[in-house]
Amino acid sequence: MREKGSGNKNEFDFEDIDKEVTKFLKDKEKNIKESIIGKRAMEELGDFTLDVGIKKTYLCTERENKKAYSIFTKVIELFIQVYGGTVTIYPKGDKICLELITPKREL
Amino acid sequence: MPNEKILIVEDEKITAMGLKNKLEKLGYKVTGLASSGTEALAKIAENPPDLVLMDIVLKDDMDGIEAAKKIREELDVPIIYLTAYADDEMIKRAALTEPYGYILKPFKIRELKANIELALYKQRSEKEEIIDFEDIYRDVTRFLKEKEESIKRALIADDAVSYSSNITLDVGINKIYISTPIGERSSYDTIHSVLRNIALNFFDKYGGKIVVYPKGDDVCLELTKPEIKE
Repeated sequence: MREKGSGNKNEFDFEDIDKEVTKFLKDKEKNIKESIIGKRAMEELGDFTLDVGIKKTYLCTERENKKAYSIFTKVIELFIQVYGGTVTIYPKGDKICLELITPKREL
Repeated sequence: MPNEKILIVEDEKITAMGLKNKLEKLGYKVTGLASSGTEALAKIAENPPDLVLMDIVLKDDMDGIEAAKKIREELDVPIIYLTAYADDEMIKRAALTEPYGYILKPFKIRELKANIELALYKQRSEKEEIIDFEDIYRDVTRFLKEKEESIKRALIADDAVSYSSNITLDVGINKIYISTPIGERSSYDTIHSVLRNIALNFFDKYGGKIVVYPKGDDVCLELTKPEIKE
């Protein structure tokens, strides 16, 4: 458990905001993952890391993962078809990563 | 029901023509007949079908399984094999291409139709798997609008706030993501300031793992968050 100490103001502010953001995202994590990446892609990819942010969803897998490129291609195709959003693909060390911008909706 | 487009890959002309007639009677549209894997790939590129019926033994260097593999790598088209061969090795090779069916010749037309319909249904449901959760994304948009400035203010040191307009920030469940254009003069000052702020304020709790990497025209910084026990 993180405790509030007598640190500086930024620390308090950020802890509070981070907690709020994390709680908000955790409630929606499952739906966001399934609606952006898709259950099938997650099953087929095997080893991967996936993080849901308030602006983007981040998906990374090893560059050695032979299935990565064909699965990423399907994820990109579906994401563009459904949301028309922007996808970025890039290498990061031994990993290949995708960033998919969370769709914005009119309020 | 039908009007779905089907490509037949079969090197026996008479068999191919017979199959074409049967499919058309069932209401499907046959986009073409290909007698080799190479011809199949060309026809698919020219007029993408909804499904491919693929013979395995073809008069070509590339057999049906190899052609199917190439098709699946490039396009999301379901493939059903039609073949007279069912030895273990062949089935094993065919299975790797994730076919939507494997029908042994001779087959009944009802069997073919059932396989085609199931394959098309499966393909549709897989495509529809990605559902746009309008309400969720509306909530996220609202939340982001309300909190974005506070997140920036909380994470970036006071002396960097003045030039923070070129910083992109995102907070995820597991990590915090910061990026800034690599070509701008202030970018490294920004990164330096953010790193210093993190080091001074968050290192003891945030475990200290920071990854910095280039991404196109941006330099990015990722800070792994600690697991928080509620």
